[in-house]
Amino acid sequence: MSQTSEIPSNVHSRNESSLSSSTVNANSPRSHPRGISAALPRSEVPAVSVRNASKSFPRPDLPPVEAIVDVSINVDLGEFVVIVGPSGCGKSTLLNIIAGLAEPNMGSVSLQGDGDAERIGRVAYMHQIDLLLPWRNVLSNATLGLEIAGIPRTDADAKATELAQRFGIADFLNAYPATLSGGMRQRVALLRAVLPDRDVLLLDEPFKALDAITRAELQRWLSDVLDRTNRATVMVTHDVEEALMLGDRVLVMSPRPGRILIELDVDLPRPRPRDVVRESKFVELKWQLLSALSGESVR
Amino acid sequence: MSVLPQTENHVSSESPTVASHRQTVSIWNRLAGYVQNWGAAVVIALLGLVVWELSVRLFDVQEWLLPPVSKILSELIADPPLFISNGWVTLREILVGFMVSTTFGFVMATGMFWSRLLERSVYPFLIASQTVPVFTLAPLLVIWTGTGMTPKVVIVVLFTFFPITIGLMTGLRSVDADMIAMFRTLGASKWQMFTKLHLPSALPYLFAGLKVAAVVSVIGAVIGEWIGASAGLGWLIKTSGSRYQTDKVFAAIFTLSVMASMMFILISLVQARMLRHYHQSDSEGATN
Repeated sequence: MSQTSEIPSNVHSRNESSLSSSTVNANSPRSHPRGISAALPRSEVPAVSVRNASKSFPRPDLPPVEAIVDVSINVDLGEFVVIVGPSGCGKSTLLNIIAGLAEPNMGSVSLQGDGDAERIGRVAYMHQIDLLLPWRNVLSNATLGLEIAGIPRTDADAKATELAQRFGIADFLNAYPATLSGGMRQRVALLRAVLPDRDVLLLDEPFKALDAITRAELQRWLSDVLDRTNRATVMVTHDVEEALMLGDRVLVMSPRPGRILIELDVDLPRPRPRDVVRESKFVELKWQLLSALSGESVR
Repeated sequence: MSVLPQTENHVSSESPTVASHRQTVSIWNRLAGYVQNWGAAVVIALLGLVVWELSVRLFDVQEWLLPPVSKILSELIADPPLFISNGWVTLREILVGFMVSTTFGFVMATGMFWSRLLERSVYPFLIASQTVPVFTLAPLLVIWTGTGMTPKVVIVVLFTFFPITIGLMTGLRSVDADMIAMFRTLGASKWQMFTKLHLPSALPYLFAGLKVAAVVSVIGAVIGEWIGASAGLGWLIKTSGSRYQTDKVFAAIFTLSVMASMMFILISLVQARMLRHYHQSDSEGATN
């Protein structure tokens, strides 16, 4: 959010043609960008820095699946970056790489500029599905990360109970996951992810499994909950509106193999009310994103 | 019995309405559940006994061939200490064997979970041990360990360790990959993952194994007593049979099956209690 004012145009094209294709419905085949690092020069070290990362998965008797090719992303503390792309474009692979669950075949990843350090356990990660443990109640599901970090039970419970208020789950702390709705379960999953106080938070389509109403509600709720925190957030989604409701910056990824096509700054003021979707600025941004997405899928 | 909150009430679910009101289910609800689950089976069993009793009387079957139910019951009532004391001998063999098996299964499954080498070297022999007809081992066991309690316990163990070990091992292995990834991102060590994820996840599989073991343990004990014993329900069946005391044989069989059923039910109750939160729509203790 802080850097948006310094930038005259909100579109950082990954190549020259993507700008034109975002206004014209491009259905002609066009050359792929070669993944020029679009990171803007910044004075401080970014919280997350992915440099020219590629990842492919070997298959027996077949050529390997290329999940992502030459992806570069920088995310600063306090920034909310959303990656939009069609299903199966390697978005989850990218998050897994940032989280340290996988390593890129080429390129590098660093947290706080420290490229050699182990990333696993330093990045908060919330998955598409809530992954709550059915045998634990809400409170002890939420404190799982703190428990693993060796924080005493009473301290962990106090910390979770305090945040649970803001998360809207304070009345459910003793309930078991099986009795909760999908929306509630996702709230608990997010609480579990953020409680250990990591600098980086990854959200992998956190509202995918929810219906439209709950989804809209949780999008508002998420921006309320996270705006006050100083961390770098990377969210992956295939929902363009969700990206614009939540993100400071939106990156569009191509279908597999995933490359970053364009990058938009979302200079809409916060908090963003529900009817922000009717503002001309929002509509314009949405059109740019959709054009970039569809232009790519026609190729 | 319970609402599935995930498919309904999406709007209201975000306000505190889907409460945890299922947490205290009354004993009466539970009893009603049992009646619903077992009522039909009990009725069929009673009907079968009535048919038995009537047809034996109607066709005038010799008592030493097939005694009427009433005769078997009166045999039980006439000398309860006979069945209780012999039942206790058999039950003790079963319980000791069961404990040995559970301990052994736990050590084995855990060991094979942690060490692929141990799994590769031990697993084939676990399978092989089940292909040997235990009955043929019984005479050897008597030669090696006498006619006391030991050979019976050994046979019970041979029957029960397999389902327990395999159940637990399968459970430890069948943890969702996403769950493992989630634990890894929280920074969990392998030991933390074992105690907080793998072990709790394996409990349903362990209980499935324990239930099978409970039923076959009775067979194991009876086989042990068949070969050489001076007490126990298996011994009672054998000696009564050779004297054509068919009513006593049936009374002992009845006692045995009650014992096996009680063990099965006991394990089911513990399971329902321990796993009561595992499933979305489980009807509180009424699962098998």
